[in-house]
Amino acid sequence: MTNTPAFLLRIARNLCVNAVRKDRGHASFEEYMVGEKDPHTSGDKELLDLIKDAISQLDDKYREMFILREYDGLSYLDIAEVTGEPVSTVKVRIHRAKQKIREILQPYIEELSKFS
Amino acid sequence: MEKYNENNASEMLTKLMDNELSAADKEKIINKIKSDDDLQSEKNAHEKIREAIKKDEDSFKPPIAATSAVFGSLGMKYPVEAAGASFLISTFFKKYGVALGVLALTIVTGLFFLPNEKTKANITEKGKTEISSEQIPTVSQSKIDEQKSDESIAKNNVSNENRKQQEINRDKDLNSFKHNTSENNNKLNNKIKNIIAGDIANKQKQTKSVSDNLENNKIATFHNPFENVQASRSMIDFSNFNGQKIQTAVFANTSYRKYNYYTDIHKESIFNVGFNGFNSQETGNNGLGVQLSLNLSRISPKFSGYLSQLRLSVLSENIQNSLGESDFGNSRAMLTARLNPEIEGINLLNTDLGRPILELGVGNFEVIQPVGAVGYEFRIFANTLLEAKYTHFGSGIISIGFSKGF
Repeated sequence: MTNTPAFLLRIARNLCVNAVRKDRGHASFEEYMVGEKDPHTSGDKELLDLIKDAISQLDDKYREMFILREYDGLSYLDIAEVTGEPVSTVKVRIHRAKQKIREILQPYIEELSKFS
Repeated sequence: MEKYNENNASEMLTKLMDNELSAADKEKIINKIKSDDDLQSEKNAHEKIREAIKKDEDSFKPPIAATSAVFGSLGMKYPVEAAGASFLISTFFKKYGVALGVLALTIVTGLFFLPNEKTKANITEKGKTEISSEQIPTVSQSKIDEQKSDESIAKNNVSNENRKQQEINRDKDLNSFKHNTSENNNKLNNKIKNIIAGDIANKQKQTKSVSDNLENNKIATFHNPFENVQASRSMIDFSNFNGQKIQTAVFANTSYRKYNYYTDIHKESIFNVGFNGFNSQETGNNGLGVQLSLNLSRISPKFSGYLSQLRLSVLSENIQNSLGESDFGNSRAMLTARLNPEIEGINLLNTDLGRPILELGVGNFEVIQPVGAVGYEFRIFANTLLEAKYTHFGSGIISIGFSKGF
């Protein structure tokens, strides 16, 4: 493996997957994100909260891909390497995850653009 | 690499935003976005989401020490440490360089324009030499002080009042601004909540409709002949099939129909089994029949077979002999096909008037001959049907029956 960040992420991911398998009763993604500091304006915060809600509604397989892409900025190839899934699957899942999140947030974004 | 076409524009947009497209496809999708408002709005939404996530990302940067510790525990050196102090300094200047530059410029400029002690002394000296004291009208110092003091008190009073008024106004503005902002926020929140609630309700409705459709499909899909049993049917036939005289044969016929609650359509089951018993008053014959039908979408082939003159003794001690003695003279069999269109029925003034019946086939009534039936199926109540038909078979059979969904 030549891609060090992808390699590290793969290790971290596997550790996380093991931990989740061992104990499914721990903090959800939403709870994890709640603990963060809040330097945003109210509009940003609200959108972020909605994004987090929307992410938490995704299936695990879609959520993982979305976070690796949008939060960690990994390319499709890197995500495929980290998750061990074919690139074609990665493409489809990322697209579906984004579509789903957009569908959930569309009314809010439309309202937001009216006020901005 | 997937090629761009009109059907996968949304997918290509995702890839465009993730920088996973070839140059040619990139150009195509960009042109498409320019001309397609929906795609444009989709792109804007994705951008807004990404922007929000980016801000969230920036707000959460783990301390360098923590990152170094993680790298250290993996036996690796964190790139920042490897670069050493120069990296830290460059990072510091990258972050605060502009602010520091502006500060330094302000200080230098300020120093340049500020008069120093030497300049002050020159000015005083110059004033002394050029202006003589005689040229200036003299006023006593105490008067000047008095006047100054009065003016200053008056000025102070006015400025204090002004300041107070300004502060009051500012407070008012601030309160009104806060109030307006909070009111607007509340309005926006309520509006968003309503929209989201509406959206959720719609989604739930859609989900329900999808599950209903699935349920419908399940009904329409052949799994088990008896799974679709929704109604039984009882028929009474008034027949003259046994010669010149009209006779009445009562058929206790139980068959199965299905009723689709969603489309309100009654149909023969996919696989239909009916049993008939009849008694002919004219001949004194008892008969037993079986009816099988298969629903092939719009056409339902149906096989009916009846054996008359069956005696109960058939089931007694000597079955072989009894069967041998039986007379099948009145036996008959029909193979017909019923046109079974999937229509809701004829609707007039909001009343379902039912639908016509048309059956064609062949049967052996003494000799093989064509069979035809015409009739009508009335909807008596919501899921109760009355069927009346005339079957031309032998000398003709008139049958009336009803079926009831349950």
